[in-house]
Amino acid sequence: MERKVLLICAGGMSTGILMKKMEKYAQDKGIDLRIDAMGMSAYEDLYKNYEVILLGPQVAYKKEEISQVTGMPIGVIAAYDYAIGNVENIMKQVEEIYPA
Amino acid sequence: MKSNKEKVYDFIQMHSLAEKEGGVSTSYIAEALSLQRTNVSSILNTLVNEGRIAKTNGRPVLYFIDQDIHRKEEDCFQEMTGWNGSLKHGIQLAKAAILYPGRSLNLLIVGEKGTGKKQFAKVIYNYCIAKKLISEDAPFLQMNCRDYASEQDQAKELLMGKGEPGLLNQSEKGILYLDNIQYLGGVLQREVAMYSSSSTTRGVLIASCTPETIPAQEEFQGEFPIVVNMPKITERPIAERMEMIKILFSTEASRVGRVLVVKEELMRCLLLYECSDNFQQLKRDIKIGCANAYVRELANSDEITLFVSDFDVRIRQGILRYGNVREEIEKLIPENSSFAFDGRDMKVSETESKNIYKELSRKAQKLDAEGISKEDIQMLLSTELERAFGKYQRQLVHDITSKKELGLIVDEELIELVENFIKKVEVLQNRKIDETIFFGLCLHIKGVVNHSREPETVGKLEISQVVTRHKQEYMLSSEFAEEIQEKYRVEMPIDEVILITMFLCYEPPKQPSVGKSVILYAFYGKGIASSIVKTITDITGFDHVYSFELSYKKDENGTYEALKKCIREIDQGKGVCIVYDSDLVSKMTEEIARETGILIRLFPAPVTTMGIELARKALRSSNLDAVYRETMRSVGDFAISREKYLVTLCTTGKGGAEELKKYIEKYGNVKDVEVIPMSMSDEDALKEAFQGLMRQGTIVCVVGTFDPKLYSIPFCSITDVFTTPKERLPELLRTAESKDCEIDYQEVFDYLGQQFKYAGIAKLRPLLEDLLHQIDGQLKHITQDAQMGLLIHTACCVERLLAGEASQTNPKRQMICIKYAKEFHKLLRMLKPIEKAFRIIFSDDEVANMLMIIYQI
Repeated sequence: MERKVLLICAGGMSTGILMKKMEKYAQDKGIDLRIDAMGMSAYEDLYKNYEVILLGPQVAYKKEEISQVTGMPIGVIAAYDYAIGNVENIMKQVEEIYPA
Repeated sequence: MKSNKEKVYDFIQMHSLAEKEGGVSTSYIAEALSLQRTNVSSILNTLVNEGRIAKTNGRPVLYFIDQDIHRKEEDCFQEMTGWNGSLKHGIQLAKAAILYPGRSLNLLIVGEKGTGKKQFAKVIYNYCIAKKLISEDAPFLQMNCRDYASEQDQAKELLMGKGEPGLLNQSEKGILYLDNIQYLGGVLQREVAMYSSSSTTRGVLIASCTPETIPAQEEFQGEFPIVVNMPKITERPIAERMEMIKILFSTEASRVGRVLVVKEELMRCLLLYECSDNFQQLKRDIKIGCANAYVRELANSDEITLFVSDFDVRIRQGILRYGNVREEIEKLIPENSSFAFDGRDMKVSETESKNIYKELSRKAQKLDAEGISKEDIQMLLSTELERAFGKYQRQLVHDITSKKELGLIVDEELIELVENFIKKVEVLQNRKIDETIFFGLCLHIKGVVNHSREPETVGKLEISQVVTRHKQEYMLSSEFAEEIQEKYRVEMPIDEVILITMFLCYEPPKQPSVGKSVILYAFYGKGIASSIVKTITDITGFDHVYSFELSYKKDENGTYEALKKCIREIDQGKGVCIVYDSDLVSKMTEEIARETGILIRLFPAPVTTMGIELARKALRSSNLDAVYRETMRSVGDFAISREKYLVTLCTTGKGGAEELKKYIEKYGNVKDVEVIPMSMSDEDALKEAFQGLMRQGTIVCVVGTFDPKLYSIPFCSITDVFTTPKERLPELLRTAESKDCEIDYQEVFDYLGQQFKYAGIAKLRPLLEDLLHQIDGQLKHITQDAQMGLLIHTACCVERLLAGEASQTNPKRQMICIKYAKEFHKLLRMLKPIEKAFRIIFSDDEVANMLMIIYQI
């Protein structure tokens, strides 16, 4: 089953590198993953295509707002996981927020 | 009859009470009280200086009672340099003594001459007033016992009173400061102690003495249980000394009413010279220096520039100690900077200079004109020269991190030439030359053969110095210069040869050493700990593992002192992890941690104890399994087991904590963790309980109503636990566990390095760290998490800009530009170094993005 994850950060830039790493991880592990990264200004039109939203730690303060707008399962990536691209932990988080 | 001063104060106070804002002007007061305007003005100045009133910045100047002055008792201590550094522990002790329930404890302040013992006593006095322990007009009495060293009778009379109340009696409502208590005779010391122990009032006695003369009598020590140590100026961080120097110059500047300018050489000397009488010495020397300069420049009405020659020779010699603390000093004093004091604050200005020798000879001339001897100039300049050269070298290789990059700028032939030269030197001198030197030399020679550099001219002084000091390097360099001359048909004068020599002799500074946590092996027995440590360092090459040898023969006191000294020496400010084999160590280190304020964590490794136990049991029983089982039982709680604990914490009663435990066990998916309910409001008891757990394992997380902030254990609030849907609880706990852990920035930057194609991490890292530091200090304090996010965000931003990608538009940009105009410009300025280094420009959208993160817009 395909997992559909949306990463949100301030300008879509920093989640960008994480996205690439996660894509590669999913490929290696044979996980069917669709993942995209975007900035805070863009998510409103597109969130419906995903099942889970993950936020970068720098925009954690937006969690409530985004949760209300989208009504979707949403999590904030732990700062350290985010900073070193700990994909394994982040995938674990996806499972916890929205088990397949 | 009230003095005019009190009248003025009362008037202002009345006014402040009646009208909520503003204040009163000098003329208003003068008129209302029918006093001379000039008198009022000087009274106001005194009151401001005493901190009793405050004034506005605009014109006319308005005076008012600053409520905060009295309310913020914390500020009392903040006027002391090092309140958050070397004096932190002492201040905590003093506060504890003053706020001791029932009746404040007496204090003994121990410190060398001039370390600020009296100032500390005064601050405590202010603190007592701020805390309303004594009334505002309570006396601060003082007596310097040295004045009565040979007249004990008189001292006694003064203290105990004769006919009328003595100092001790008078101090019952305030503070009595007994300076140099060691000069009081033993009998008198005891009497002071006895008096204090029989007294029931709130007055506080503060005594001071030097470290060698602490009164030894039990009665005295019992009555002065709190001992605050004032560090010597050399024991304080250099930054604190800098702070003192700033304050002193500012005071002098406002005294003479002119701007004082201090150049970097002088500043460096002042930071380093042997300051035997500590702060007082520094104060004296700076006063004398300023006075000399003032006399010299009496005719000028402009700013006064202070020269090294205005100061005593001792101060000049400070530069000799420069080598050891170079990095620390360079952080405090930017190159070619000068400091201007106008009585209020300090301005730092830097001047850029390209040509090393020109700059040096300019400096030499200047020093010469100041009348400083040739030897001293040479001494000052040789460090200068190294610094200047170091800077040139750093500038050269700024953008180069690999040979490949070098190849893009310098042609192959030249690289080969330099490479061969370096190899030759390496073989001949049997040493490795740093790669950055190789890069630097390539770039330098390239500049020479392209005539793109202004030729250097070296003074005779430097030539002879370099040649005599580095003969072999000089010979090799001149051979190399000839080679270049032939091949590229350029003139290679001696000055260039000297420069090449300097390249060979230059040692690039090591990565700025940030303090590490250090590891200490403290074992019984000869050579055991040191052998283990040697093995570790041989394998890893690390240099932050140390050993300490305990001896059965030494008495406990001696061992304690030796261990304390050892821990003090090896601590780099980040704490010490101790691997030990005897309970004695764990007991001692707890005490040492308390005494020194150094963080200590313990790892039991009871190899010896276990062996002793096994041997004993084996003597009594021949059943191997019995021996094993019994020993396991008796050393069991000492042996290493890494249990994981999660503590649930309630202040009200254990019931709440029990409930919380049940809930977490049911929904939290914590099979491998033992959940322990605790109910404690007493911090000490909690600490003890935590320590107990930590001896057996690790506490992964505390869940509860309040964050005890102990041992940097991550915390998760009870509200979060109950408001999070049950199925999300595991996630919450897991993220909480990893939340506050120490961040290994190396790992973060390694990761970024792997991901980035364009932005060089080595170059980016210091800039980013600087940026975050500035944002945190000058814009807004942001959480560690947000900081981490912002760091990644900015790094990615740089990478994308370098990749030529356009930034997305930020729809809120305009709003932010207007609402946060000031912050916007500040941030822009902070980003300049990054823009310059990478030749990129952050768009307004990007800056707005960052502001959104910082201010959570």
